[in-house]
Amino acid sequence: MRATLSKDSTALALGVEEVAAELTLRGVEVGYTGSFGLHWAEPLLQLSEHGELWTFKNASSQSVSQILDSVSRDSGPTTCEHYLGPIEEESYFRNQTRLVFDRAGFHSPLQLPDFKLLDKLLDTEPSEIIEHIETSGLRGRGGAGFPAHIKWRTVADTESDQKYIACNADEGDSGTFSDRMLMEADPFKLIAGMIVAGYATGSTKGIIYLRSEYPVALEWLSQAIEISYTNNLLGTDIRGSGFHFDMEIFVGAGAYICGEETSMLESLEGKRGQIRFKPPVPAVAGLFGKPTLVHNVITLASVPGIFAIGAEEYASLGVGASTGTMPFQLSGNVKRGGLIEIPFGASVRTLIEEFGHGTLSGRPLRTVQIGGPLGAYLSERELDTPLTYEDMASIDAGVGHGGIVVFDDTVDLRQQAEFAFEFCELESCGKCTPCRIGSVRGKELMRRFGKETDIRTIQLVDDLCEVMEQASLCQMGSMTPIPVRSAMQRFPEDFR
Amino acid sequence: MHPMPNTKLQDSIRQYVPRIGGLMHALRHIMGEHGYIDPKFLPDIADLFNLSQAEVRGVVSFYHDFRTEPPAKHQISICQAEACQAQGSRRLTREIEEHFDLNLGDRSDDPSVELHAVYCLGLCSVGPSMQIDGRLIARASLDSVRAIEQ
Repeated sequence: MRATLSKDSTALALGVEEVAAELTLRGVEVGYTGSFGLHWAEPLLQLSEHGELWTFKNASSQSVSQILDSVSRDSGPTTCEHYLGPIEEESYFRNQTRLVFDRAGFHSPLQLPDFKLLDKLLDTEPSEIIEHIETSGLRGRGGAGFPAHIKWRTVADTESDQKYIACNADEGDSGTFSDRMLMEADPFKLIAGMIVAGYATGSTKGIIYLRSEYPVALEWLSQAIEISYTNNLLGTDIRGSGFHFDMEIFVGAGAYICGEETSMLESLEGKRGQIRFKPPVPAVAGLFGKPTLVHNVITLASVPGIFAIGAEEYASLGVGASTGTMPFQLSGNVKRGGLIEIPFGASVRTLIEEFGHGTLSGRPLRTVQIGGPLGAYLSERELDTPLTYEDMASIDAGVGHGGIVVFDDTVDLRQQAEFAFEFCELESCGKCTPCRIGSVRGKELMRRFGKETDIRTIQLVDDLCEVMEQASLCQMGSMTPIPVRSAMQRFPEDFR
Repeated sequence: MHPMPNTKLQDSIRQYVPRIGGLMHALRHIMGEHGYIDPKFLPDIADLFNLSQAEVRGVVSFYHDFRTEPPAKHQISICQAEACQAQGSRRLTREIEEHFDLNLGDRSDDPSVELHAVYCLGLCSVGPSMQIDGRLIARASLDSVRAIEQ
């Protein structure tokens, strides 16, 4: 009998190694894959024997014997409380459209993909590749949603002796883990996306800025890069195409602000991660003043999928100018948290109810924060809003990095608003005054509610938010008012 | 220049000088080797990278990972970000603080423990989460830290 377990951070944190040890002790051979993203079912255990495959959820070292017994019983494993049934038939998985995460969970993270597509692309005119990216409608998945092809074309058209692809893997937003999951489940997808981006823009060097909080991703990614070099997927004359591309990982040192692109570039240059004035944009003058294509992990990892199904087909997924699929991440107080890659356009409610099965505590849902610490808190009646860049903007919210954090009715929105300022205070790079000082004043104001005249406090918060929105140099300062204002507008009863 | 360069330290990080963002690699290396960046190393690092001591100190002080004092034996980081807040991290933090009679950011000598706040370990779907001596823990509870005293 053979067992397959996921070796990603989620499974490891839930004790997958203890499960593996118990299985080994009982003579079962253990192999590792990435995670399918059904985090509510982790550690997910797949057992195979004589061509049959059984899947079990929430395995633990204590339940291993029960699970193994169920397989050898006459009645079969279906009666075991841990039995899940085939992944492909599980609605959580079946109802997804996986283009970025198509391989996740099915293979070892180190299993090389098919090279046919890459070979074809490295034989295509770079300008043609950029046209396909434009046709696909791909927009930056890191939060800003900026059209990718504009960046690609700018880098391609800017003359320089050196250009860079800088992959932003500083996934610091709470409620987001798709970058981590991709790097831990299918690192070659990211590597392939970066090679294509390098070829199309004339860049020969790729750097992945990985946050230090992701040691497991570092392990898989480092091995995948090494394997890529030995398989001529990186280095000189990649697969006989004549294209040269090098790649390295740069590990951050704990700074949320380094997820901001210019701050990340400063950090990559070995400096304090303080943001830069824009313009010039990084596509013109980025790392060491050279043209640099900056994208987050999922944007780059979306590239192979676009060419696999064709740019037109990709553009037909989603709604309006929000094309393709987005790996949403469901978390917080929810029964079935995990990764849900679907086309843009489903409602927040669909994700929470149909995939998530409601709150974990069983208490009524009160609010949902979308798009990380700088994202809006939504009210229950806004959950029918479709998840597209445009629809979210229409309710003063954003898709951000696709993180959806569910809160039940025990949440105190004043406390959450205070935390938004506190987080800004802690992580502000300190370069501009509205962010550096505004965050502190904001935190103090939040503590005044109920103690002084609230009308006056509300006016002060309003003024402060306006200054931060208008005068901050980057989104850290200008978007901190989003969670604050959304909480105050939608839940005024918590601010008195 | 200072009179007696610590050539052993400089030799251990010399490889990072030509690399992209070499100073960050060097500081990370020193953290790995010594557990902290002794302020007395600053002149040697600055000298090697042809930077001012202020520039090096500026980088060290900017990043949460870099510390200038020796660490306690046990490092406990509890996630304080929103997804974990939604799963009870505030209460868990209070319980752990009371258990060790420590506040986040403080340390004790017996047991040799340091409590830290961390903002997202990427385990948002299975919170509250924490990290004990590098090991990731999902669905954390007070029980997760009890093993430390044994």
